[in-house]
Amino acid sequence: MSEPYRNAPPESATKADADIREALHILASPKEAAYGVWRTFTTDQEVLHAVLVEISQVVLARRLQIALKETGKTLEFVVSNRHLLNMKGVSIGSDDISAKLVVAELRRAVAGIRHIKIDITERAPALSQNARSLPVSALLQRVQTEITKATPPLGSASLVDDIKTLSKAWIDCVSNAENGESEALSVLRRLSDRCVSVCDKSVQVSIKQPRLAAMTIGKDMLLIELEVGDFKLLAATDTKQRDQLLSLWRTFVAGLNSEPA
Amino acid sequence: MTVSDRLKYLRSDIPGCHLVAFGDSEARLVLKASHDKSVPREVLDGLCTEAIACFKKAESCTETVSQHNECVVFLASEMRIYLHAQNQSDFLCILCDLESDPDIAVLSGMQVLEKLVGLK
Repeated sequence: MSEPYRNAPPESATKADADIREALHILASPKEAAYGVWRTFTTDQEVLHAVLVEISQVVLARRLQIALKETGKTLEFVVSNRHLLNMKGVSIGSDDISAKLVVAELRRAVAGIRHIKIDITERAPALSQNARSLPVSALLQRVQTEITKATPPLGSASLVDDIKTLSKAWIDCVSNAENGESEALSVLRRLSDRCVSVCDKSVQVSIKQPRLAAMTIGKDMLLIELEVGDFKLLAATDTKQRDQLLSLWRTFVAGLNSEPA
Repeated sequence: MTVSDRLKYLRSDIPGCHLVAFGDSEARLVLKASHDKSVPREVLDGLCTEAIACFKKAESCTETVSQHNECVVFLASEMRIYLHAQNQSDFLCILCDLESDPDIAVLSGMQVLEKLVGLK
């Protein structure tokens, strides 16, 4: 029978010990333990982060396979020296590789995914000499930039929340977060796709000034496009809500005008 | 009444309105405008571009492209109302103060747009 502690450590020390024990346990565990098991996440962002962290830890050449439980699809990456060399399972050609595109496609692939399983399917895969590579640091930086952009600028958070509340559905175009009725969401997704092709090419009359567009679709639906700085929100509501929308906008603008320069 | 007369009449009819423009979305051009002070051509071209972008976005969300489109854009100090004629490429652009009533502007604008389309 083991002898009990003669001098019991204080509670804070016990907590610190537990943390250190857990850290040592993780460190001592074989790396393979992280592979081949389903891991659970609560948001798309967490899934994306887990995928990128996994890629960022690969130094020797490896072929990784990531199974997405909800869709039954798999993503495949060839990684070496913390560089992404090739990927399958997303619609990107090897010549199109860019941080913006890769992150966008990964976001699309992991949308709604809450369970992933990572496996190393090949060690020392053949690497093409001509393959373009992308440092994982660029991907992580891109994600961080998107998170920063997705945060509504100061003073507009209340407006954003109010618009979300009065809407049937909404899509945050920067983070790709979305919520609401499926029918309204499908309309918004079409609008979002259209925005990519129209907005990027057109020159706005006033660049970067806060803007709220309300487009009437059919008899009942009002599509909302809110742009404040780099933040952009698409929402769908009832046409009857336009007066309420204008009222919210006037309040927001009044707040902007009263802010000290 | 000429096109210019109708645009001028519409501008005076909407409280807080300071510009009304009539354009063609296929030609991507403002054909005629009525405003209270000098407005550079670039501004009219910009309004035309924004109007067409709004119409295209709206069309992408509807099953039928023939119905009229209506878009109200709120900015920090003004609102822009874009009205697209049914089955036509004609459109109307109305610029008002932010305190103006968009319902009045849309209603009056649609009536004038229908007449302008009939004049062609």
